[in-house]
Amino acid sequence: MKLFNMQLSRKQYHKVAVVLLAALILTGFFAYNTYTERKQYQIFLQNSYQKSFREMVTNVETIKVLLDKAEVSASTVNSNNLMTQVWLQSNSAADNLGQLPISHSALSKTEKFLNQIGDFCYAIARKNAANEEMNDDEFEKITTLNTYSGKLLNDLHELEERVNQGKIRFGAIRKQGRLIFKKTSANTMDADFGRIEERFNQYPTMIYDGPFSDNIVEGKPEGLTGEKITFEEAMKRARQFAGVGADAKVTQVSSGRGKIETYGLDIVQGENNGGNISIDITKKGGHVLWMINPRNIPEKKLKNKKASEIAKKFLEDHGFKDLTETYYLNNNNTTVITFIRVEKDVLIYTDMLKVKVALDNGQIVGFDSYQHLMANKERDNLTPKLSEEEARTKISQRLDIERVKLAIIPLPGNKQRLCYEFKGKHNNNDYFVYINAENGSEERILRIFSTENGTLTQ
Amino acid sequence: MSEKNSKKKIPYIAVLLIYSIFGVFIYTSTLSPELLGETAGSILVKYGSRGEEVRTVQDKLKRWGYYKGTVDGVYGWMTREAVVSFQRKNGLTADGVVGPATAKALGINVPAKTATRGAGTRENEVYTLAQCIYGEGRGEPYIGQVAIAAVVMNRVNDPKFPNTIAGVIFQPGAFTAVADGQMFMQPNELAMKAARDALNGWDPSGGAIYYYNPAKTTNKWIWSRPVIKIIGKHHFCK
Repeated sequence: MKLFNMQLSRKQYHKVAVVLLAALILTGFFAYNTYTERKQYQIFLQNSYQKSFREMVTNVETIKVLLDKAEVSASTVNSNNLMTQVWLQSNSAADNLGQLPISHSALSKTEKFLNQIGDFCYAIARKNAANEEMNDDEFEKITTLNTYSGKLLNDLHELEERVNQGKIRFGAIRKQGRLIFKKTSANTMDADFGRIEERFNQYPTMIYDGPFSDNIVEGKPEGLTGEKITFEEAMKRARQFAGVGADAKVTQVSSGRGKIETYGLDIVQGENNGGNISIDITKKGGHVLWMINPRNIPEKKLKNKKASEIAKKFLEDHGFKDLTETYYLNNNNTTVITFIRVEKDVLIYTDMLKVKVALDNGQIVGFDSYQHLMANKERDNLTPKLSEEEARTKISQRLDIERVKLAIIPLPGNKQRLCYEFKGKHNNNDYFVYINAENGSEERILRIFSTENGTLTQ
Repeated sequence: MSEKNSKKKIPYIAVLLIYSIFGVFIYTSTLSPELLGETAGSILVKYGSRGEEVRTVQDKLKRWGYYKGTVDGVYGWMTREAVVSFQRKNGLTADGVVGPATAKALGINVPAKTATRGAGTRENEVYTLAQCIYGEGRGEPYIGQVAIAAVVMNRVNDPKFPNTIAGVIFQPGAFTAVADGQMFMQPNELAMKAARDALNGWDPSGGAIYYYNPAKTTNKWIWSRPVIKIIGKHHFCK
């Protein structure tokens, strides 16, 4: 460039030097600014991690004390109080742990432990609320949980000390930093937590009435009946279910080895016909686990009533009998209708099927039978001990009852109960209230939200 | 004399030029879209968008002769060119992005985002899930996208993970799209649809709580997990 070939006089040289110096100062200023800003973000982040960590330590400390007390409590009222507090504290502990920048593999067992303590204590609290005391087995579980929280607390205190001394810092955010210091500093938090995790290796299986109980987590598909089928049979089944001709091309895209083993199939239709229909056929019995047809649905022509008739006919044609429609939900010009089984006039909410109908031409574009296949087919008792009149006395005076039905509803811990379902109104809100048909206790209340797009319960 | 003078100024001008470019660069990169008057939420469609809305825009532009391509619902460069020329002709900012002003000029109704939200609906969860799907797997087949959301739902119900959708998605290091900020894009209709399907109970992942892209993952631990299903580029595992 010409600029650099120029013969500069002393004066000119001087000026260039001044300009460059100014540039250097400006750059320095800018760099310093960026540096302080970065530092501030870093401190902010550290603070929020520190808060989560310290709060978690306090949570575990509180849990330990509460469990100590629970071991010697003989009153259901006080035990209920203690258990509810444990539930709250462990929820907070699990939440705080989930915020820390520690890899999942290093904290999963601790997270599970915290969630299970809370879940177990909530189940006990429910029991206490019904004026039932803990049995020996449950006291033993409390002792075990107490021992493990003690161990966890020791480790956390050790870790806290090292954090306070500045020996460990949370979260090496920068990826480059991670690469360079991979083996030394960045992973110490992971390594330390991994060591805590090893303590949980002998942690016993916890079985109780809660959603996180170990037997529930495993769960078995009890409704999955029939013999093993071949791939050819699965393809045939898929074609028939999707309503396509025998010449339609079917490819296997995956082989499911989950809770229910499946052939994952795609029915190839080409882009012009709306893309592929995905369908999973169970290897045992050849049931359709689910189907999704993601085609674009440009307009809404059908009314919901017509759609529900179509869905009902579809289910009947495919051998699903004794069903009744419960909720529906409209989205993207489709409607998802939930069907449940009816046995001897009893609504079985645990046995559920979902059908999605396209509202342009009434095609079935979605199907899901997971709950149906997981449901237990043999129900021992569908006759209530309490009469409808007796159950009615247990209902709140504030509810205007519209109708009553018998129903089997799912409860936490994979339990199901026979209840009277009272549909009623209060303050223009719709409710379902469930009264246990055996002992008359109020098991559950659902609020029904009716919108133009469908009904929801919560 | 004048020649000499102008020569003297060259170093100043050069340095000034470098700095002004640098300054403008810093200024624009720190300006958030809100300051520029166009919040991400109000952009209807832009380059790279797909879906029904794009189709509507293309259809209008084609009818008025701005757009020559096919109405395919994909916002490619041809659509962008058409939008830019439409904006120029109508005295709008020619940025190739269909925002509220352009949409109005095109005669497209902009639905008010909050109007459809009623009490008790799960739109907040649908949107969070959809953002996660869009950030993590926009190139994946539809069931692959539903499966990503299903993994989030399975994690919510697993004691080894946080117990809310936001807790799971924002767990540090859990999802790459969250870590690198890609999640905060406006999700498309397909992602919203996939999120709704997953919330309604569809689970193409077969109960998976992890997934990874084998071409991109070096994590040994995740490789050791038993694979349940392979959908698109992702391996779903327990």
